[in-house]
Amino acid sequence: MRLARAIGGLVLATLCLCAVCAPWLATGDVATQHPDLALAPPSLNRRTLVERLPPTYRTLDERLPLTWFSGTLVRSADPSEPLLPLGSDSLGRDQWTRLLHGARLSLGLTLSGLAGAVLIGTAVGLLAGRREGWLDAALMRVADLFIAWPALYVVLVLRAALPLSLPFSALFALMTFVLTLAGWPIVARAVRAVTASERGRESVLAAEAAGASPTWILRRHLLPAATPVIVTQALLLVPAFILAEATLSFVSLGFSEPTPSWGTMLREASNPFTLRHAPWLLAPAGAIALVTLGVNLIAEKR
Amino acid sequence: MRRVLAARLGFALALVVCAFIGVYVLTALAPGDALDDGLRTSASLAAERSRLGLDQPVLSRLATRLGRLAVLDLGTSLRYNQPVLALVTQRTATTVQSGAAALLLALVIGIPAGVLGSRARSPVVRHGISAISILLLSLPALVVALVLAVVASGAGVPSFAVMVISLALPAAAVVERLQSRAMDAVQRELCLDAARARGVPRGAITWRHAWPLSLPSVLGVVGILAGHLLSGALAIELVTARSGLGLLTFEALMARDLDLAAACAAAAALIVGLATLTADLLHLWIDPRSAVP
Repeated sequence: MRLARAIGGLVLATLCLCAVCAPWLATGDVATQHPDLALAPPSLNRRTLVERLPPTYRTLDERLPLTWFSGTLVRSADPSEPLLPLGSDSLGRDQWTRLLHGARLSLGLTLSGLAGAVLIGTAVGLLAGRREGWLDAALMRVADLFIAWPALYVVLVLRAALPLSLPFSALFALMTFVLTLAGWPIVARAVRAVTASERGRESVLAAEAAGASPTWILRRHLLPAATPVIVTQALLLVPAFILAEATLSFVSLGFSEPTPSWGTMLREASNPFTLRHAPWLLAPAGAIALVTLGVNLIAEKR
Repeated sequence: MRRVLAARLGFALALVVCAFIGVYVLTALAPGDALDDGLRTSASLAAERSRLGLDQPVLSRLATRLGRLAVLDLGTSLRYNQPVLALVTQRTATTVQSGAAALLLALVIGIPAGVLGSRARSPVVRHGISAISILLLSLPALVVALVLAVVASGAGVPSFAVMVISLALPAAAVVERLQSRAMDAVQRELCLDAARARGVPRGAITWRHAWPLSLPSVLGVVGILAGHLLSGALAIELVTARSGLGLLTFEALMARDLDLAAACAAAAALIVGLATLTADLLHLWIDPRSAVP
C-alpha cells in the first residue's frame, strides 16, 4: 500500500503548497464584489447577464484577455470582468481566490490546533504512563470522559461558552484553544498506552539500572517509541479539526465574513435551490473531502 | 464481564452527570443572559431574575437543580417556555430515530462488504471494496448531506432519508474496514484450520466459523460509532436546519438557556453510554465465554 500512501502525501502536499502560495495563485481579490457577476459559472469567455433571478448568463464567443506572470500567475487584463476559474458566489466574489485564502485559514487553524493537542496530549500521556498511581488513573478518566462525548458537542459547548464576537487574532487564538482542548485526550490516551508498555521493557530497565536519569529515559526511550503513535493520532485529528472549523463557521461561531474560510464559504451552499443552480459553491466541501482523503490514504494500514 | 458491565454502567452515569454539570457551569459562566433580549428594562430584568432565582450564585443554583434531577424535574426552558424534559425527549427521539436507522443501515452494508473485502477470491472485488470504503470514509456526513439536499430538493426525497443516508455512508465505511481487518485477524485461528481440514466448504468457513469470531472487535466500537453518528447528526442538523437534539443544543447554548443546554448535553452523553452498554450486552450474549474473567 505504498502507492496509496504516496498519493495521499502528494494530495496533502499539493493542498498545503496551494495554501502557502495563495496570493500568487489567486486570480482576484478576496473581498472584491462584482454584483453583475453574482453566481456566475466558471468560464474563460466573456459573458452577459440575460436574467437576474436566478442569475443566468450567456457565454459570448470572445475570450477574456489574460495577463500571465504579472505579480500573480494569471489574472484578467480587463478590471471590469474578472477571471473566475471556479465561478463566483452570490455576492459575485471570486470563488477560487476565496478557496485558496480559505485553505490558509482552515489549514492554518488545523495545524495550530494540532500543535496544541499534540504538545499537551504528549505531555499528559508521558506523565500518566511513567508511573502507575492516582495521577495516571485521574488523568486517564478525564481523557475518557472527553473521548466518550461526541467530539462536535465538546467543540460546540466550549466555543459557545466563550465570547461570541471577537477581533480576528483573538478569535484565531480562541479557536485554537478550543480545538486543543477537544483533541488532547485522544493523543494522550495513545501516548500513555505506548509509554506504559515501553516502561517495562528490558532496555528501559537496563538504562535505569545503569543510573540513567528519568529525563534521559523520557528523551531517549519513551519519546522515540511514542513518536509513530503521535504522528498517526495527529493525522487522524486533521479531518475532525477541519470539520469542526467548518461546522462552527457555518453557524457563525467561527470565523465571520468577509474573512474566507471553508466553513464560512459553505454557508453559501446551505440553500439547496441556489446550490442546484450553482453547484460550484460546493468547492469548499470538495476541498474538505480531499484533505480527508489524503489523510485516510496516508493512515491506511492494510 | 459482570464487573466490566458494572464499570461501564458507572462510567456512563458519571459521563451523564459530568456532562450535565460541566455544561451548566460553563454556560452559566459564559457572557450573556437568557433574559436579556434588549426589550426589557433593567428593573423588570432584575425582578424577573429574582423571581426565577437567577440572582443566586451558580453553584447554589446547580445544587438545587441536581437535587430536583432526582425526581426527573429538569426545569422549564426560558427560551421555549416549555418543560425541558418533554422538549429534550421529543427532540432526542427525532435524532435517535435517524441515528439508529443510520447505524442499522451502516451495519447492513458494512458487515457483508467487510467480509467480502477480506475473503473474496477475486482481487478486483477486494480492492474495489477497499477503494470505495476509503472514498466514503473521506466524505464527511456534512458534505454528503449538502450534496444529497440538492438531489432531494429536485426529486422530492424526504429529509429523513437524506439524513439517514448521509450519516450511514461514512459509518458503513468504518464498519467495513473494521470488519475486514477483524476477518483478516481471525484467519489464523486453529479452529478454522481444523474446519478446513475436515473439508468444510469455503463459504461455510467464512460465514459460520470465521465471522462470529470476528464480531466482538466490530461490536467493541459501536459506542464510538454512536458518538460519530451524534457528531454527524449535529453537523447535518445545523446545516440543513432539521430539528433534533443537535439543533436544540445549539439553540439552548446560544440563548444561554442553562437548564435546557445541560439537559441536552446529558441526553447526548446518555445515548453514547447506552449504545456502549448495549454493545457490551450483545457481546456477552454472542460470546458467553467473555462472562468468565
